[in-house]
Amino acid sequence: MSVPLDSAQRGSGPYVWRFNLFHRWTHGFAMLSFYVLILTGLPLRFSCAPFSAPLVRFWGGVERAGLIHRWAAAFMVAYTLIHIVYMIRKVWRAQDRRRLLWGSDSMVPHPQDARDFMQQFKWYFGKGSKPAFGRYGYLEKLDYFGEVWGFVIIGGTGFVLWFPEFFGAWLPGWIFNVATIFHGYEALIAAAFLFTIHFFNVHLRPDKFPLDAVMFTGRGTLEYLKEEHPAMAAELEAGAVGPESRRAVHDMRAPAPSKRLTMVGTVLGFVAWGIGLATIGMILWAVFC
Amino acid sequence: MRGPWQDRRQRALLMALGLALSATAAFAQEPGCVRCHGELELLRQHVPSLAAARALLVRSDTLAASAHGAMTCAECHTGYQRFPHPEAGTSTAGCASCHTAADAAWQEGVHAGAADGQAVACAACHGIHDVAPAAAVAAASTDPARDVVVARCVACHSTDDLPEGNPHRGQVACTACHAHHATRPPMEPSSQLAPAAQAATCGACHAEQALLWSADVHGSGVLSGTRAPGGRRGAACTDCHGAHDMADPGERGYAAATVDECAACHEHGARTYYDSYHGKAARLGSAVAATCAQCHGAHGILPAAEPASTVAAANLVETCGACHAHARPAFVQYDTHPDPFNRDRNPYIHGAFWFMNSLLVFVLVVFGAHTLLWWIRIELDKRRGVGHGAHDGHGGEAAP
Repeated sequence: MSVPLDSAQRGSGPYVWRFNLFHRWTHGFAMLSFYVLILTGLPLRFSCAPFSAPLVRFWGGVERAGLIHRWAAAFMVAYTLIHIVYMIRKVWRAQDRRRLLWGSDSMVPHPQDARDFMQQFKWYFGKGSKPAFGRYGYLEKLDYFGEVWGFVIIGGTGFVLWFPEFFGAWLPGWIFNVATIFHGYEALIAAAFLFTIHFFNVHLRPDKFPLDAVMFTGRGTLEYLKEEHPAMAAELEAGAVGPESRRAVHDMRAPAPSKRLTMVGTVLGFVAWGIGLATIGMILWAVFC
Repeated sequence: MRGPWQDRRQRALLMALGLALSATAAFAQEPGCVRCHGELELLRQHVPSLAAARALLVRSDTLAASAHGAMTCAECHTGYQRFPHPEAGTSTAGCASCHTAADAAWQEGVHAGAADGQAVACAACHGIHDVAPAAAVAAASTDPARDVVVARCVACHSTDDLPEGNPHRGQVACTACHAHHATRPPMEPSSQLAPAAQAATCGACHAEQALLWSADVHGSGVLSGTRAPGGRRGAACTDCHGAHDMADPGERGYAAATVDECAACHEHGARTYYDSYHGKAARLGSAVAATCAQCHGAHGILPAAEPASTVAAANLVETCGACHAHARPAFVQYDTHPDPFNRDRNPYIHGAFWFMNSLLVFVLVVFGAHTLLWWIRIELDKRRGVGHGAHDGHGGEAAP
């Protein structure tokens, strides 16, 4: 039997929901806007690099690239606002707010995450077992709050740079120099983190290679879940109650993803990490100019 | 029907008769000379080759249309009035016999051949019997003769023809810039294209720019002979504009290209400029991003310490305001040449730069190690046969 490319579809057991449609579309929007932002911003950040002029020509000139960059930023702000409304509504309407925020399903950073992080390093050196992550381990929380941090820093400085004459009326002009540094470096950190560390963690790790499409299909097998999120799988099998509703967690059982959805997820995943790794290549290339 | 052969023979016969009758008569006027020297076929009968006959050929209208149109042949070719031309007592006067000033200038120039023994004499540029009027040869940009001049210079200096895109191409002759008689290599002190002489040479047409330049940081340095701390002299016209490779300032991309000219001396200024938004956008082809000249000026550049400078603190609102309509005193504190390594220049830029670099290194080191060690752990476990879940499909045994 051939092994599925999507590591979330490997192994036995019923499929389990991991991300709903809202999560998946939000992640898709984040990807799209981030790729457009990085590929319109990169040539300006490394204007001396040999790839910058052709890339800018591809966008239709430097002014056009700037315009697309701003539209992508506006799009990012728009779905982020929708996401914030969604989050407020979710917390507001939660049946068990305490568990939503502090339980094992929570997205909120807990002291346990720091312990898991240390445990992970102990495991690397053979001094302990692998930490048993819940629904969201410290890596997922880091990805999420990393983006929150990036959104605040890059978005805030980007907004200042977008309207220099407005901000320059009451802020000293060197604020644009500082904003440029924060904007460019934070974007570099984001790209370097997402396209190497995030990609390795979710796609390129030898036990998940070549990709994990769970964020596109929204579901994975129980066996996949036991490996990646054992604490969540254990609760699921114990029939615990979810934090958002009184439905038991075992109601999270999902139908197998359709062939078409799997195909879309696989193609999307490959295209995403192809462009991402190419971008890392461009950044490394640009360092030498 | 009479063919040209009979015609020619008949004419030769008539001419022989005429010559015999007036063997001693002087005929200083052209019709007399041209009677023979205007007829190639006739000349051919008296000289051994066609080439030699061509050398003796002078069309009657050629001389009339030339600068020497009012002169007779004998004024240069003395002793030839008689025919047959006598063996002795004939001579052809050199141009210098009349044009003494031009000759004196020519003797000073490279074309006199003092250096390499290869003189390029008057005729090479002016022609002989078709000698062009001096004014036409000199420069006049509207005269068709300028093309003649360019063609004659380019006959030897073929690689130096003005390339496409040079605004002087087809407008200005070589001799407008290069001294026409006292031609010297451009960068020799005696050349009229030497740095200190360019204000006069280029200024003959571009007077306003030359005047501004003479008083600015570049021009005053060149004219007074003072040098920058690095030992460099100030820039003259061609240092920034180029010479034969000159581009039209009205061309798109010209402003961005001039940054490289400034960078040839102002290396630090150019590097920090390219670290700013202006520089990055200009390098990528922005037509609106400010380049050196938009802020510093072009022909009237003054150091920021001078009150009249466009980049003097008191003038920045106006200078920046040319593009940024709402520039305020706070706004112009923007550092157009940021140097994050220089703490004294701006501690905030310096601080932001080091903070973000530290964050970058910290994130990459911590999570790079996290990633790398994970990979090693998986490979080690795989080698020892410890599975990472059956779902990985890569040969690991299922965990117990």
